[in-house]
Amino acid sequence: MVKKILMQTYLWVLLILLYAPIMIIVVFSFTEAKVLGNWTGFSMNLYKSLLDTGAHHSLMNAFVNTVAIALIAAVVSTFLGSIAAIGIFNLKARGRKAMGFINTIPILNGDIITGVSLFLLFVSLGVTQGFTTVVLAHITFCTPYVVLSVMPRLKQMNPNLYEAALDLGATPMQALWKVIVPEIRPGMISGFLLALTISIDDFAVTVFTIGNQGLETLSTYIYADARKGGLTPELRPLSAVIFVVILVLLIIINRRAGKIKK
Amino acid sequence: MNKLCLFFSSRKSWTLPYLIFSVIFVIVPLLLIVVYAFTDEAGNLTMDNFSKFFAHPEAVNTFIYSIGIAILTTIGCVVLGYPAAWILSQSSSGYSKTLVMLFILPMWVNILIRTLATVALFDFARLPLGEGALIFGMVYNFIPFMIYPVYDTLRKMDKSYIEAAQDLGASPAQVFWKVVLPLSMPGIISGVMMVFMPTISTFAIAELLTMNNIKLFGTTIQENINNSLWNYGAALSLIMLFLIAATSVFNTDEREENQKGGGAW
Amino acid sequence: MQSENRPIIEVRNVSKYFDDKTALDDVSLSIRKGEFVTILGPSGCGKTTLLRLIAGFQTASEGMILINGREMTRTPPHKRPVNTVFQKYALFPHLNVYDNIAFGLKLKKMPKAEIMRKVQAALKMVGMTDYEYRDVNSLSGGQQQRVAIARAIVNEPEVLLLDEPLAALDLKMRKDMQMELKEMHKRLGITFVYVTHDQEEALTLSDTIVVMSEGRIQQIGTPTDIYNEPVNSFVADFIGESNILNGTMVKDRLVSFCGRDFECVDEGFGENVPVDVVVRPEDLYIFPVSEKAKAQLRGVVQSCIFKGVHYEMAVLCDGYEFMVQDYHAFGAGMEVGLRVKPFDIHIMKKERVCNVFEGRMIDGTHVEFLGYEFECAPVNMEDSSKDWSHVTVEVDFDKIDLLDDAEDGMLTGEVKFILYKGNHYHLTVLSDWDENVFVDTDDVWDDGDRVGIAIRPEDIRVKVKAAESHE
Repeated sequence: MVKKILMQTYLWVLLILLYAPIMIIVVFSFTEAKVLGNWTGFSMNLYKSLLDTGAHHSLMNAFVNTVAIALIAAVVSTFLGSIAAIGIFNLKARGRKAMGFINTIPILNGDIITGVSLFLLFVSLGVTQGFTTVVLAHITFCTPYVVLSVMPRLKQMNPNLYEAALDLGATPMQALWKVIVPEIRPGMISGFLLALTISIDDFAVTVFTIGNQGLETLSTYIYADARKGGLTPELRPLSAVIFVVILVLLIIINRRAGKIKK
Repeated sequence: MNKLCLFFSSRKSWTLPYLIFSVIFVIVPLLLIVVYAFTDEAGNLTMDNFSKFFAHPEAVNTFIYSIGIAILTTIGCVVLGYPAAWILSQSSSGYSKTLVMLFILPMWVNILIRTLATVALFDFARLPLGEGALIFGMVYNFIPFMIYPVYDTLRKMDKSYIEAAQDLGASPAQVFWKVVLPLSMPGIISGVMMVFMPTISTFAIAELLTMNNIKLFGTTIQENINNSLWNYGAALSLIMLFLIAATSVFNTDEREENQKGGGAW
Repeated sequence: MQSENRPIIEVRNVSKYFDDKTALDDVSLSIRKGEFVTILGPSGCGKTTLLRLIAGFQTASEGMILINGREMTRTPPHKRPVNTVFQKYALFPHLNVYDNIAFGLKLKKMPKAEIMRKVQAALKMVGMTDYEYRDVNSLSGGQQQRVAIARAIVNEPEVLLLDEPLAALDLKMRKDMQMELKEMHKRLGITFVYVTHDQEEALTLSDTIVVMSEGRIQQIGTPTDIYNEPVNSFVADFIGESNILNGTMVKDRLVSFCGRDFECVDEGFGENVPVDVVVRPEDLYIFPVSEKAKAQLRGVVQSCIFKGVHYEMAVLCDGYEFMVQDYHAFGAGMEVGLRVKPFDIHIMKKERVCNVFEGRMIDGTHVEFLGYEFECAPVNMEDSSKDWSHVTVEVDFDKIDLLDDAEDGMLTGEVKFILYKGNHYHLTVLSDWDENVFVDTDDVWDDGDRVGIAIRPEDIRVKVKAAESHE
């Protein structure tokens, strides 16, 4: 019994430590002080000025860019990755191994190698770096995760399902839409969500491919901000809002998954 | 010709768009790193970029220091994460699932915001920023990558192994060291990979956590690229790439295991 | 009527290769309309491949498949008038029972009311009325199987293909479903092609059984034919239980095995020809040795096991072990007499009496065959009129040694098929270079064992033909 309590205490201490920084941000989003950690009384002013686009136009702009890049990259990589997964799944052992290896390169490489390599590609091609190059770069490192989340669904699938559809008179295309896509849809959705979050989270690859045309994402904005010494106070409410939105989203997704299982 | 038609109607050809995409955006860029690393600005073949690296004790030191930090971070994640994963795997299913989700949740917050929040925490607790803060921040950022795979392998482990060991007279400690730990090795290895790889190539985080006092290898690369020293930057990237390749050799066996299976359609 | 006799499925000289493995080797088969045909064989014999070629999931490498008189070798599955019931059901997990069954009809753009009517009729046929809106994942194995059958027959195929449909069910359920399938076949009047590895199932259900092994058809016939007149030792061993022994056909109607002569009914094998003798365990009469009935064989009971209806006893007679089934028990250690009626002795021509390989001489004491170099007894190779690069090598079955600790560089193989012949085992070993080596041994090996193959030099007989005049 004592052991059990000790074990649970360990878990919760770890969790509290993990959440402490985030909680500090959330708490200090309700005060006006310029410096974090300095409580100057409860105030909603930071939230107000966050909505006031005039005052912090560049922050909201960076936020919108981040979301736009993430959405485009996630949609494209979900399609590209799902089609690729179906293709790879149908390859023979050797081809599957080779494609599996190519697929893991961007994951293993680490952000910085991906960033540098794409930077060199774009400068070699003489492409002006900006929104398009960032999106392309994000698709590059998001697609492998989509492939990896769709693949297990394909492997779990009864291999006869596709044949059963053909047997019952479906053309290969009909079989795909009516049988395979519904089967791998959960994998596609989780791949999409994964792509969305790692795209929003990315900093290293973005920094190398964003160019110098004045485009900013949340990450580069925060980085520039931090290097200047201070943090824009409005980042606190923004982070708090993002955190809460994601928390709610995840709870909904989990609930749904739980219900489906039942 | 007929064969070509057959190829395009078969599902295998669906690999093609992704293959083309990967060649352009993954393989060619990697080759470009190699090309830039072995040439000078005029495009002549040279080894100067590498001799420059080895001639600079500062760069070499940063490199070794970065590896050291990555190893410390990984050890920290194993030491703190393994017990957590084990406790989670022992708890009831619904409860542990919720808790695992709670452990992963912070990852959805932008890594820079998380890092800045850590800085805030240290400020708040009046702790000095520096090496300690750096390692704490890294462990904080990457520990979910360790907990999840270990939890996953422990959860899937057949409980009868433990019972068999007990039946054969093993004490709880022996059960852990002789059965549970070896069987959860695949999870630890993939956790180590998932922590070590991103830590080694991280940049920006270190500066924020140490008030620009400590520079990691990633930052060195980024600074050189930023200062238009592309060839030298590429050479440094190539050195890191070798390190990554060497580390991932550990992981291959396990990955091959996962590549098995598949089907006929 | 003419159409009644026309074959609905014709498989003509079909071979199928997967990379360099042969799954089907020159298979020909003709199935009549309305027949219940079972393709029977052990796993890996090519039975499922044959079914998949008929369904269209795979394409034959060679040969032709005709369905209803039309050539369909390369027709995609959705254009064939056949439907399949899969081993693991392959019900679409995202659709309910109704939508699963209606899948094919909806693709045909049939009016809704008609689909409803047909689905309900199909459900009634399989005894699953009122299950329309159930989630398929919530059904038991047997129920899923019924839905899978309903989903296939609702399309009114001319041929229903069933790939081990009962393999995943428990014994009791399997027996019930067998009866229902047979009943369904009668009511529907369509052709059933059924794949199974269960010989009892095949005997129960079929009009015609096709026995397959290693990609080839071994025998086609009615269940009684196959059981009573197996054409070779593989079929005899695979269908039912049997005692298979080496024997010699002394002359017509007289065969010698187990050290004595027996009257039999077979003729035309010639005189003093080695044969395989098959006696079913239920055809051996067993009685106490004291009884007046004349015992053809005398032996001692080694073991006696109760099998529900009968007892199964192993009786050792002059070094040969016989399996005997009888309603009466004779305990271990009892001395008994055995007797068999002449028409219960089945004689099969031996496919081979020794191993014969193609080879070539390397020098006077070395010969290459089975893709490996063997030392042999010295051969005088001075006669240059003979073609020493094309010789025939013969090795007796019992002169091949199998080793379980194969050394490096030794020829190895995999045990493919084991036949107990009363006092020894007859093994088929597939060598590294895909040639069969037949071995008689007293040692016990298991299916799939990897073994080293060794042959002593003096046991290798090299035969050479005179060199033919080169064309």
